[in-house]
Amino acid sequence: MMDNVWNRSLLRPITIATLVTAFLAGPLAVATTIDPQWRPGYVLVLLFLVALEAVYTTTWLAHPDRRQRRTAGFRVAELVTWLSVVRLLVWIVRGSWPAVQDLRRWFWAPLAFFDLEFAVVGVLVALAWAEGISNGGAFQELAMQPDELTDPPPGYELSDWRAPLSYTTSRSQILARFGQRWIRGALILVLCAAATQVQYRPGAGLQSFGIVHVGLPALMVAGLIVYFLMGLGLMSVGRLAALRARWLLDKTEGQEAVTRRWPRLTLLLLLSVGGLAAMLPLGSTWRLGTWLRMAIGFLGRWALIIGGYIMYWLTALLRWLVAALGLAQSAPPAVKPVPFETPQTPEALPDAAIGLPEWLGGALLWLLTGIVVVYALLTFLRGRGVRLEWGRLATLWLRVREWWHRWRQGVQRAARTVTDTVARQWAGRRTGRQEARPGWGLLNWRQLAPEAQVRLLYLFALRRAAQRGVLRPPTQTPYEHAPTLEGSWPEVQEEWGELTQAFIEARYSVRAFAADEVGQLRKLWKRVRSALRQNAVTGQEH
Amino acid sequence: MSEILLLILVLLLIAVLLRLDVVFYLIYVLFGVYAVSRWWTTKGLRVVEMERLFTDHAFLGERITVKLQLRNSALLPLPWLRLHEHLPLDLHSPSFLRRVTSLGPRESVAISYELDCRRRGYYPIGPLELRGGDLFGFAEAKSQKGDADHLTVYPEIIPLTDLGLPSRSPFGTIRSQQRIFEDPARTSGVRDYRAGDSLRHINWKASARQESLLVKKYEPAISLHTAIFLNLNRDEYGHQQWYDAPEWAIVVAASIASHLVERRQAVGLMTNGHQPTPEHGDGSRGPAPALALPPRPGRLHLMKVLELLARVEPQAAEPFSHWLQQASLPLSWGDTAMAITPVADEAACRALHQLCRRGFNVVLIAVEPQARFGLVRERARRLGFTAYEVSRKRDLEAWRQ
Repeated sequence: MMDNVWNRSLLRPITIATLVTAFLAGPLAVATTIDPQWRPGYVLVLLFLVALEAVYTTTWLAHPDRRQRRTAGFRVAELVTWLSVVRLLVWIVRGSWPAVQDLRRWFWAPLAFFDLEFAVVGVLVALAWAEGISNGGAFQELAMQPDELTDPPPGYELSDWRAPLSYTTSRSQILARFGQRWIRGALILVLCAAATQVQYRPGAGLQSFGIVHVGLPALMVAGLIVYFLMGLGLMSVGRLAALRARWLLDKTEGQEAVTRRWPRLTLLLLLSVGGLAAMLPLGSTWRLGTWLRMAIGFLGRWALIIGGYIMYWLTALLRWLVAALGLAQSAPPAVKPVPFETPQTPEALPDAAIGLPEWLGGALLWLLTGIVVVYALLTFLRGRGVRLEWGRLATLWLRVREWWHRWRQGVQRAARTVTDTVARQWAGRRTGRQEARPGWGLLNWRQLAPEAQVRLLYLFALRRAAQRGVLRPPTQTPYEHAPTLEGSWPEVQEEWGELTQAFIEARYSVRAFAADEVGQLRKLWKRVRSALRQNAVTGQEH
Repeated sequence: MSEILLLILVLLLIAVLLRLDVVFYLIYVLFGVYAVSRWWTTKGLRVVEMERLFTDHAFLGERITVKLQLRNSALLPLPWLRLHEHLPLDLHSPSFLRRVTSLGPRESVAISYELDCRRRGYYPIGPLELRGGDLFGFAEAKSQKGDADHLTVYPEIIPLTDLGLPSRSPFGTIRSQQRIFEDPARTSGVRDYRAGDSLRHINWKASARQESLLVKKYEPAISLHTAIFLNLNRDEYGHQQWYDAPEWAIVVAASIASHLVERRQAVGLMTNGHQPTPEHGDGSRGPAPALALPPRPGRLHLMKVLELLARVEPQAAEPFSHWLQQASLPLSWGDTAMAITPVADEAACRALHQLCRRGFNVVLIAVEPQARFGLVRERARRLGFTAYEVSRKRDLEAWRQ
């Protein structure tokens, strides 16, 4: 049994969504002030829809039939869905669909996926979603709960029956919590309004930030007014819910007339007071405002003067006490002044003096960030009633370690399997004259086919040449690169030519090499290797 | 809701220091809503006028409709009003009425409920407590509207056709079986004149027609007045009958009084019980109402008797035998004294005997069952009065003839 009258109301979700949107209009206005080129019109609509969906889903999940879905996973999935929508929406609005190069770039640098607009809008959407859930949940708790609406069991009269759990819901406290939350939001919004007035003046020292009085942005003004009016409206709705529950539990009749008239009276009062307030003089034209500002300045100056005097007398008193108790140190004996010698600054600091590695600062920063995040998580979980005990944490740690061992062993097994498979495939390519010797693995290149050995001999020689500074550009063919090699090491000019020719034939022709040919080529490669070694020594001498 | 005031203060500081005009506007709105809500919550309840309309006297078994008329005499609406009407549990279950309503400008609302008169008594109806508040929960106030009104529920009356009470009085309205006294107001015919007949009794018109003196014949009659002495001394009632027997005694007294008034006989009521005094709005109480009504004829007087019987409650008092001598002083010779008491002990019988000797017709009615009531009856007969035991309704029914 559900409170259908409350749950099916459209006014409440729309009002909450409007309140959340108005609240987030503050940061949005600040962002617009920072970057005047940004046009965040679509963000307001998006924030309203996100908040509305969050309130609706909270109400939807409150039904007892859907208690299985009330999980953090469900909610996280909801948030991830919205963030995905935001990502697509930003691409659509900006018309900057990602190209193939962007996909490759995101693979190597994942943070490139999060451009500034997506990050800002994503954070705002997450805030709207969280605020919608929080406010929607609070107002859902104000509804009549199923245990309060349940029929009396057999043997109870309806007038005498009251569900035992009805006493656990303190709607006044829920409403007070919402009021405090609304007040905090109002202060944040006003501070945002003040932030839109701050103008940065580079090079002005401590007075870099000054307040300008050019009027608030229209978005900020609208956000402030709507936030306050919607907040008052929601407090009125919450008040009605609390009274309605109290009357229902007390079996008080006649609440229909009050419920019917309530929204009209609230609207009438807000419009009347709002209209009257619009006709009053505003702060800049209000003499009382000037007087107040002068009074605050006067009081502030006097507070500083009095505080200074108090500190002065306290210090004097402390000094007197120290002197009276004999704790003051006697004046040190006069020391013969030593002529000052200017220290010799070393031209370059030795490496040992630097000491700390460059990554240490970043590591400390991330460590501190991690501690702060973990602390925030623990606080959040504790606030939600989740208690983390050391015993449970130890058990969790053991499980994680066991899982890590299992995972590592699995990876090692998979690696061995792959190695064996590749080795078997290579061994299968050998000719019948050379049987694979058991116990030799992939690294024994002599077990390879003759053609592969020929190719490897050339590649080994190329690698050694590259280590000596003669690199083969990727655009050069072996023939084109051969003159460079022969010019670099003229003493083995013929060997380079034969190795190059053999490589071309082994790689690009169907010629089969005999074992003695491979042996001959190996001798050539050894001569080249020794020449490269000698040349390397002479190269260093040069 | 001190947070609202704190918010207003902080906003004022920010607005003054940063010169944000729109924040001034918000302060006006917040403060306006807050001030109007608080002011109107306390003031609004004072302008509500209440009137309670109902019949303040009822017979047992009747259902009384009470109408509460509420009117908002101001131009501002009252968003919600919670009414709590205190009611006696004997007439309404539960012992209150709770309603909630809303009053627009100069709007009137009528709320009706019914009272089931299941027990005689003198019941306070109300007072009405009003609780109201604003639309935002900034303030709540409550007030009490008017004093409690009172409803009198008469005791049950069992109709009796004939009590058969004897009388020695020469003037009565009920025929006497003894034919000792005749009532000149009730003629039954004429007869021949005999020596010694009063000349005032001669029927001159009939004598002229018959050409012989004829005198009027009168019907015999019992006493002129009957005084009911109702013993509500709680100490003389048995503990097991502490609640039922006094109520039954009151029912018997009411039935007899009603029966006698229907016979156009004067009835009075004297009781040693306690009658609650109505309380005024300022907490003071009025003068103690009289517990003795001298015999008078007529339905108007019967209603007074019934009202007294509706209000009276048992109390610890002086013994019935002592009180009876004092209470019977205003009676005239020949009046009937009907004593309704729980038991007829020796002291009570002696006191009633004294009444007999003073020339009253005495009838004793015992309302608590007694195992040896025959001895009491015999003792009463010897002492010159009649004793009846009416401990059940069936006994009273037996009096009907």
